[in-house]
Amino acid sequence: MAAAAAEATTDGGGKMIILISADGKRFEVTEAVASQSQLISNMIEDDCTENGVRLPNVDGDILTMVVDYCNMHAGDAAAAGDTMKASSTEEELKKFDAELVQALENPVLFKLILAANFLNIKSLLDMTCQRVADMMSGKTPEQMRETFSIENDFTPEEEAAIRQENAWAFDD
Amino acid sequence: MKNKKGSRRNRNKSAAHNNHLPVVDRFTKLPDDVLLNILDRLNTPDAVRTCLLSKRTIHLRHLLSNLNISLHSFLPHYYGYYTTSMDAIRIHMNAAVSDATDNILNFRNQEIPLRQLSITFYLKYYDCLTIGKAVARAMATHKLDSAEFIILPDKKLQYCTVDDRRHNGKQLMTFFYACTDAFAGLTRLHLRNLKLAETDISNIIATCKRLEYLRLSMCQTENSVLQLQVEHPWLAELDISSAGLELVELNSLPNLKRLVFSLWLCPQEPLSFGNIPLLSSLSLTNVSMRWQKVIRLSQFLSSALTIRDLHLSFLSEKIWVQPECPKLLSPVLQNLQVLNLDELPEGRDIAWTCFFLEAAPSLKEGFCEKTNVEWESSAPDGFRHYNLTKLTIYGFQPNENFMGYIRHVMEAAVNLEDISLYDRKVLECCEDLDPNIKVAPSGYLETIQEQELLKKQITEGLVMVSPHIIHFRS
Repeated sequence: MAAAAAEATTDGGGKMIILISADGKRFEVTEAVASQSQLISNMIEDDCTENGVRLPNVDGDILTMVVDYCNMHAGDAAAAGDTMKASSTEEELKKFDAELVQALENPVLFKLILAANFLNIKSLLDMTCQRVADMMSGKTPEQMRETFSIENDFTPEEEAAIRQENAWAFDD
Repeated sequence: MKNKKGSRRNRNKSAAHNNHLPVVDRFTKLPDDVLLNILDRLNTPDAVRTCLLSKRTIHLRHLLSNLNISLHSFLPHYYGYYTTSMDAIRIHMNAAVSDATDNILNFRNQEIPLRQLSITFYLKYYDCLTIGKAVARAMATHKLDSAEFIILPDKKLQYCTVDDRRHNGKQLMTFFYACTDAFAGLTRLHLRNLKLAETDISNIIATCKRLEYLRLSMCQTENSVLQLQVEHPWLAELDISSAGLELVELNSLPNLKRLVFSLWLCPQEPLSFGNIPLLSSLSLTNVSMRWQKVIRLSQFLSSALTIRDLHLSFLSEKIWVQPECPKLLSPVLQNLQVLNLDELPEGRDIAWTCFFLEAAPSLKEGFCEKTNVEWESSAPDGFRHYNLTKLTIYGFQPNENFMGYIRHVMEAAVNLEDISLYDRKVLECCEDLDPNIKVAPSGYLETIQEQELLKKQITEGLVMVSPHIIHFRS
């Protein structure tokens, strides 16, 4: 895959772009890799990536994960021509995604969601949102509160009103 | 972050107790559209319960666009569960579904499009009525992409008598006639365990004008009615099991793409194909009885020439398709690309499966499950298959039969790119097996060395084939 990327560069089809994280870390990626982000893809179209793309909302460690993800997923489009290669990459991709997502915990998970949302990378956003949903499903409200440290900011009166209004949602 | 006075109860202390860093609530700080992306992935009762956790999220419960309200979300958490009778629990669960549906649909923000609605409930008249009315109102104000009812019997199948099923059928029809406007807007419907009167199924199909998916499980009609004619402009997927009918005539289903039909009792072919120009996927499952004719696919499928994906399951019993010569069969299998032969009887020769390969020139993928294979082609030297690229065998055992079969396929299918071999599937219930069949321990190869050796053995002496296309998967 690395060889293929190098070839693309020499063909002139794979221009490089510099991404700069909030803490000043620089990442060099091909246009194909970067344009999985709708935000950057729009910037490429508007020709404003010359001096690097500053991403003031995204920390270096999170951007490392985003770049890894995009590098991994840029390959599937390139190999799509060959059905066999595509199917083996598909399996690798699934494994990569599963491992990435399984390892995610609060707070990195939420930082990654915000990065995916800001950069507008739909597949990464959907995957990370699904992870949060999976962590929530089947939990009681108390367990959810605990898992995500959600503060109860209702007064007892407000809470009683909510319970009455949504009686079906409560077990008791 | 705004910090409230010390007087208020701090209930999330426990989450932070073993961590010196203050635990930050990052969830409710997410933007609304991201929160909705997450909430729309949960079943709706869980999503609403989440919204109710804080002031920041409480308004989101009216903005959900994907509603999935099911009995399963109301299984009681508390320990008293085991001491309460199942009937009381079911009544409680069903009432919760109907209350939730009514509450959520009535208070929804109507400016937010409602994309999907799926409700799973029992046939209890007053609950059904509440659900039906609420859904009909929602349909009048929203253009739903997908609206689904999954209507379950409140007794388990094995405890249901014919009278219970007849009672279920009557309840369904009372509900149906009281809420025809809701049914008319459904795109998906799943009915189970009913006995219906003569024209009921036809009436339902005719009324549910938007229906794209219909599943009828154990929905039988009174014994005097043995044929069903199906016509519908939009129906794309039809799944009928244990219908107890002599014949289902698919007269006009211009949009039908997938048909699943299982467990029939009539002696002859249970289906007749009329106007079904788009039917591409057909799945048939049956335990064939002594009185049942073996099906000749060349005749049975002669009006269903568009099938690309064929799944035949034998539930480990008699093979109910007749091997036929390629000349007869190839006209009906001309478009077949994926073939799945499922639950073949274990320990039995399945040499006959080769006729599919010879008759289906477009076949790209083949699956065999629980096989024990020997294969002899009727034209062993001359026959070549150019399109088969993938062969998958579940229940592979490293014996002569399987290896010989794979060698034959590799020789004939000159463009084969992948052979995936899986171990036996572990069945949840092995009592289904014929007690006369000895279940031998699986000889599936665990170590890579063994697998490499076997690959070499299979491909030994074959020219133009690579052992690397064989994969042992688990």
